[in-house]
Amino acid sequence: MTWEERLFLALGEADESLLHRSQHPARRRLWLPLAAAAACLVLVAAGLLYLRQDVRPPAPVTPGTAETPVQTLYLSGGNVGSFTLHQLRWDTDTSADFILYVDETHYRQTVKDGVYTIEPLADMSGLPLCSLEISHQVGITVEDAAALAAETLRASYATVSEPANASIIEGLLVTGSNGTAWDDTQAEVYLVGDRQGGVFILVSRYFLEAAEGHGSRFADMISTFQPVTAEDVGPAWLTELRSLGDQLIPAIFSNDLASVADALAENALIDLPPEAGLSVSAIDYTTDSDQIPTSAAISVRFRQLEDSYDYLTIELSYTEGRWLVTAILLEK
Amino acid sequence: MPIHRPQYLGAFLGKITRRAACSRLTASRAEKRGGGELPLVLDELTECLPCSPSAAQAVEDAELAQMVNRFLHTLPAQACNIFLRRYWYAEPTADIARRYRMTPGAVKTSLHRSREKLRRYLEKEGIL
Repeated sequence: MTWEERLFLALGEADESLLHRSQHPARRRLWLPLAAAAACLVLVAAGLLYLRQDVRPPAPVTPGTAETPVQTLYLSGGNVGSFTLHQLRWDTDTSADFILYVDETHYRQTVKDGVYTIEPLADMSGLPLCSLEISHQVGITVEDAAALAAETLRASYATVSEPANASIIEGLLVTGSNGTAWDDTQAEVYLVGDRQGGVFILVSRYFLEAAEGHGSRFADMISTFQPVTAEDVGPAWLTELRSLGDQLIPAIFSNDLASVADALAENALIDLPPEAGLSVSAIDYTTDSDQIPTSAAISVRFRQLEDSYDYLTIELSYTEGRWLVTAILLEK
Repeated sequence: MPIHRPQYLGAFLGKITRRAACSRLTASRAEKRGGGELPLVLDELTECLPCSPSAAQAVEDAELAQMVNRFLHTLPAQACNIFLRRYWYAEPTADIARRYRMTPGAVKTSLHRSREKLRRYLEKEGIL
């Protein structure tokens, strides 16, 4: 018998309590802790990095556009450009909110008639519409919203798919296509439950030739979409973990670890990603315990232009009341 | 059912099934048949081989099982969960990622680190 077979059999005698624990996911998504006045909803990042700073007075609403008030928080992230945090309240009674990461170097955001819209900064005149729109409906199930979305798409698109589970986000997806010519319009409609009996509707529109450009970047942004509610409040260690993540991610992607030197453990293993032109499509936080964590990992999925995804994993340990980085690992 | 009721029935039955599957795998490998996750899992576990293969052979199977069990208890809960899903249940990494809502990259990183820790643990325990 080979060594690995012996090891495999030895593993078979693992404590049943450990096996039982592995059956039930111990991890839950770690929501950004919400203070009473700062229900962070939309996180906009140039270069897809973000850093929280103090809040300035609300930005004026663009005339003739949104009725919904937008509070803009101006942030900075070292050498990687400026960041904007938008706070949007869709419904003051239900306070259904969301978090989204947006590349502000390539896209602008507006709110028109209650619809949050992301559009390319580049001049798109003469080309079909490319946009990502997010709206919200109360009192409807995800399944019913998907059926309505399919029915709505059939009025404008030659081919419409049946609702199916989305692969990039928890929810349903309905797609529409007007053909295979370079300028034929395409649509992807994602329906995501707001955790309060309503649905967020994310609509990505682009023309076929833009599928690997704007289409894939919209998909990356959609992958970072997270509904949050005002009841999601985290303990101090969670606030500290997310706060540290806010500092670490921009510092790592801009190769400026000096600014976070205090957070690095002695002998921490460090790989650094390439700079510039990155598109982040997911940032996951995991800990070994929801109650008293001793370790955590921040996993950042990113890619350069339309390349395949790479992963950056930041491993941390929680000792003496603070998080320390023990490793920063790149995986292709 | 055994006289002493197992506290975790699912895991108890799983162990019986797993031992039977291992026996069938040994038989199928003898017939040069393969496929599925188990060959991949065994290949990954090769990394945990301590530096001295002959010394590794000298360790009794029961002693090895106890060592591995003690090692599992040193791992953080999530890392242990991921390790067991992969090397006890032979679950594909993509399924583990979905189960725990992680990225596949984070799962692979966790497994890599845990395998390295196991190798160092076995060396420290005297398998030099």
